[in-house]
Amino acid sequence: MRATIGLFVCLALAAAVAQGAARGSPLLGLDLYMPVPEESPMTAERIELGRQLFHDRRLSRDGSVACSSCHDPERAFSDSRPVAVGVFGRRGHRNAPALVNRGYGRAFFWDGRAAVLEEQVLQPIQDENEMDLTLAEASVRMELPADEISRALASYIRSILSGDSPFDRFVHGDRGALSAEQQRGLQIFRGKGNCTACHVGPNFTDEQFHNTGVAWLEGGFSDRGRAAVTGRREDEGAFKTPTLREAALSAPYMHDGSLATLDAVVEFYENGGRKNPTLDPEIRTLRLSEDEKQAIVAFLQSLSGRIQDGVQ
Amino acid sequence: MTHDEPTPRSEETRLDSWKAIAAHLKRDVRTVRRWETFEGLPVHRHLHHSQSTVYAYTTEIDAWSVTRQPRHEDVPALRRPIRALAFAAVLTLSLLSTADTPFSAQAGAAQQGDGRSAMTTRRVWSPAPDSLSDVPSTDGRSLIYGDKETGHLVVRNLATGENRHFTNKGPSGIATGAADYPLISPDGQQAVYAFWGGRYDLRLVPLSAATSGAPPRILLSNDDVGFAEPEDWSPDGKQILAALDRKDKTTQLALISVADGSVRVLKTLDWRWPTGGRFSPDGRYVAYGIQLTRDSPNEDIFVMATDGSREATLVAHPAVDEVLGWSPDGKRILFASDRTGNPGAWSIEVVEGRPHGVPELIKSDIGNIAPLVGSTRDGALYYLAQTGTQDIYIASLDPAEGNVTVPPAPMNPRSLGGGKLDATWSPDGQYLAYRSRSSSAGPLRIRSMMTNEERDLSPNFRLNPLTRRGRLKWSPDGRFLLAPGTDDKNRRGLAQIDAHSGAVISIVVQEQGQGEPMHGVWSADGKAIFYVLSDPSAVVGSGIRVRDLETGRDREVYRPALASSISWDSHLALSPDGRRLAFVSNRQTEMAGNPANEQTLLVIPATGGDPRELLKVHKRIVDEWNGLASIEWTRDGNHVLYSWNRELWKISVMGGEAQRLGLASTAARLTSVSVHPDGQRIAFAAGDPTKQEVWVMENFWPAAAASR
Repeated sequence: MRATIGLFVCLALAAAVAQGAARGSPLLGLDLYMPVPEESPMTAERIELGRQLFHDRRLSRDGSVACSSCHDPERAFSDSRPVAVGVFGRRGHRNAPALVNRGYGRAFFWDGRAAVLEEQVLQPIQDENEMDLTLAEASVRMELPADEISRALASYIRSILSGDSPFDRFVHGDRGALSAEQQRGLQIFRGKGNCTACHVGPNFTDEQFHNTGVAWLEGGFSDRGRAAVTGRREDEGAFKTPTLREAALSAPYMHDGSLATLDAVVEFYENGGRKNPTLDPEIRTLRLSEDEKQAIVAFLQSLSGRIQDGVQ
Repeated sequence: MTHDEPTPRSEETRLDSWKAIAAHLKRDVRTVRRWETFEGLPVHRHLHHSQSTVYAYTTEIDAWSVTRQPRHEDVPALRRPIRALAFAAVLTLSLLSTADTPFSAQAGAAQQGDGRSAMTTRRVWSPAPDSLSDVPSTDGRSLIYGDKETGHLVVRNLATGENRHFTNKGPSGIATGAADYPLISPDGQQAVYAFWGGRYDLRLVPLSAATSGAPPRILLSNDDVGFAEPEDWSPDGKQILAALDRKDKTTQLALISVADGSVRVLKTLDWRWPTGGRFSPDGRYVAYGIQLTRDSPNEDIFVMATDGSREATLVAHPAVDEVLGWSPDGKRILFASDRTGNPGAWSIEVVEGRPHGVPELIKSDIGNIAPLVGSTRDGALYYLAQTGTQDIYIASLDPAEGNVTVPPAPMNPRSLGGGKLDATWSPDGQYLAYRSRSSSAGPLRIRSMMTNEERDLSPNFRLNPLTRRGRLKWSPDGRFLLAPGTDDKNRRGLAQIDAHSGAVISIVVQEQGQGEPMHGVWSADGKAIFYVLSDPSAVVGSGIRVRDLETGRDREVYRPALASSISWDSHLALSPDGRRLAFVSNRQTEMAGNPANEQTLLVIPATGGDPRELLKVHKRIVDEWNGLASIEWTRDGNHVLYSWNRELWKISVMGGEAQRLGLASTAARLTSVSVHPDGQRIAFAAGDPTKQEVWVMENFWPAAAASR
């Protein structure tokens, strides 16, 4: 019994050491601690396997798409199209979000229906509008158990990080890292713009769900958002706050990709979102000047930094 | 409404009445009820609308029995009865004596059930000064603290009682800023502390500076960090564990290099503030506590590897659980928990940063204590024990003369202490809302004066623990309470709280770089609020504004004269007809060469206009508790009431001499005066919750855990 416990401790320590080594040092601006399920430690082998799976089109029924088709590494792992396009040209309902720093997330998908990445990564594989495979089919194609596909993809996504941006350097003491306009934008972002009511912390997201009115069209919600998961009326039209890291690279914006530019996003909030019965009370008319709006956009561009993925 | 109920465990038997609890303990009901009141017998309550029911678990009862100390069965009560001297013109408010400590007033010695050496508690320093900062630290030989009066750091030799003041000494010996949250390094050679000098930074100073005058070294100074609180030194003395308050209002748990001040953020904690961060003796882990959600007082405890590789939940329970420290061998963590209804000291085994086994009760009923950082390294627990208290009293007034006719009586003599403050009558006079300092009692309580029923509200809004940023104010229709505090995103300001549901709507929020809204009062029609806006440094009140609640627009109604400010202590009071505002203006001056305040009681039209001076007094700045305070109008609007020098006074709005109301305290400040709508009763808070002592608890660890 004692030997068994000793072996377990050794394996756990080895996993922990491997995990630390595989992740490397966090980029400037990111937390040292990233929540990783104990049953899914990040090893170098697993991250590399996940990277290969992420780019492998065999994970889709017609072999036409991989995860990377909608999460383009050149665009901060986001999609330039308003909504994702899957197998046989089928269109999804929502925009594929940027995957940077999702390892720090606490809820996944725009509606938060997945609690951990291991659960999240399997859903697009099974979604008929995305990759349209059963887990059994995916397992046969990849010659891997489904749970290993899950762990490998989750480990790889945890390795996708963005940090060391001009903003990070600025808050760590490099006062020249932001232009005067960007500094003014930061001040408005945290003050008059009330952006930090939701976009806070190292990832500029509270990981919560808010109804900004994007889904309110013609007197009703075009997408129930979080309410489809919780069934609560107050969650109608609410979506998870996305990260603003690499925002300049991840257009178009919002859960439906309906806003093409950062200027359009700022203008949307300038007008107090779109009024509806469950609009988040933090969303209100801002009364920003044109210069102030430009300053916010300039600041958002300072959130583009160094992106790294895979084994470091 | 019910309190959170502990999750029943399968091996436990639940006792569902006083009778069952008494039978289990083989005592009568009266005895066990007394034990519950005075000795922390762990009894839970379901609070219903009109009454409560009790229950208990046999395992908790048995654990309490084992650790129970013989207490003062001969001492009548923790709280002494108020002596209402009906014949006396001036009353003496008898308050909790300093002998009534959370532990035995005698140096306590408890024989532990397994024959191990006895646990002891002894008083180390009594009374500790009012100016002692909230979080001193000790290495077992010295105690270091920030002096709130002078801003200096003070090192006290625990053996000799000698105090040495150092840091921040300018040419005149007056502090150029304020030092607080000091921690002694493991080698006892230096201290790290937070320093406020217009902005916060972290500094290091050698303890020899008291004699050598060596200057401090700035360790962390960052424009993006609004406040940094050092939590603990790493055992090797190379890192500081600190909580950082970022400019976006989020908080972070970070490691700061003592060598170069570089920061490594362990974890960002959204808008919640961590408590009791402590390094394990081997430096591999830190333990900390944190609220699970902003709308619950409950806290759990977590252990995180200092390399950031993992984190585990150590203590998860529907209770307030706070880290007290690690055992010297690093195998156990001592924590405070109110899971039995009263705060107790518990410990739990830790293996490789994870919990092992179930928590064990070390000591029940430890009271409201604040552990001194660093104190458990040698196996002892030093802590601050609050011995003072504050309660709410009700007296009767002669509405014609404004004199006290029936002496004050405590509102609820059976209620437990913990410091109640800021009582206010509802517009119909049927309810009294008040706040309690005690987290377990709920932050806001409403009492029916007809039935004496009480119900708690737990708004998702952290009420300021003091009244210096304002008081509770009922809306004219009695539906809401206006309160100062901090919202769920760490923004200070004023919010309206639904008096039935506790739902919160922020009304005025402090914006980045702007002053803090405080001291809100409703307009007579409830369509606007008047409030004081501090200057951006949040040091003084810089103006009075009125906010239209329909348009959200502000208008300034008063700006203090140059070099003057609006007093935080006095509050803002609107006359019953809603046409005049009373408040106190401060101006810095000198008294016999010492810094002092000139305080002026002013009345202005609520629409704005020139102030009329009713009264002018002087006080020494350090005489914090005795300035003009608690401004309130009589119901006829002819007089303004105020407290001054521990006594209640009134003055006519037409001017003239101030008159005593015949209500004074020999030992405590009178504050939070509220006049009943019938004009015949008055509620107020009295007492001194700042009284405190330093105690040490020893010999409580199992023998193995006590060794390093």
